[in-house]
Amino acid sequence: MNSNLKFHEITKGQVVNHVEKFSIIDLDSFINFSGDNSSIHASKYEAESKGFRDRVIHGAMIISKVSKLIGTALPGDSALLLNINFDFKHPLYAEDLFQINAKIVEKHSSVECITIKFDIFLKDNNLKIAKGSSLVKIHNV
Amino acid sequence: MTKETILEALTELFISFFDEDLIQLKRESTAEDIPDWDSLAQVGIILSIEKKFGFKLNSSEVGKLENVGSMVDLIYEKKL
Repeated sequence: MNSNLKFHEITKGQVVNHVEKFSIIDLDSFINFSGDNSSIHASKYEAESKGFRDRVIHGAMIISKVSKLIGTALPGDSALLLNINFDFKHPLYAEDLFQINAKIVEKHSSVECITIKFDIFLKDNNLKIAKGSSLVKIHNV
Repeated sequence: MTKETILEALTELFISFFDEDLIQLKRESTAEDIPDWDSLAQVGIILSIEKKFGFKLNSSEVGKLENVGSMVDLIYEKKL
């Protein structure tokens, strides 16, 4: 069941962590519906020729899991995403287990918004995949 | 800051926020005068004001804002 946190129920420093993984089927599905069939995502041969271990998961797929965390957990159903910024540090591949750490770094009482900071890293070796932040309006005040 | 300089600073803020060079704010200006000034834009404007002028507002203060003039007056009081 989704969270549905109200603004006053959210505290600065609050943390939520999600562990996620993509399959090759997920990657192919994303290529189909997004239309982004760039060779590093769609061709193992082309990806390897460019120095990657395998076909690379799209950054937008990783952000989709950030969206899931925002929309189901922090704050959950009350979320209205206003802004999101990410830097990608290292490629992610299918079947890699990765963790998203989300932390509330600021509450904006004037407009009932929160700023969430994200760190995304591989579960195996803590290698950082991406980091970013998001501004989210709490919609059920 | 005088109320005139605050209005000038707000105009610069709106021009940057809406990416629209032709915005000329007056004290009577409201969301009716700027097509993209909706409730979501209002969130961004308030956060930009807090950042630019260096103070925090509360939801009660924001709820009383009726036009640009009331924004100017609120900023002026906060900066006193």
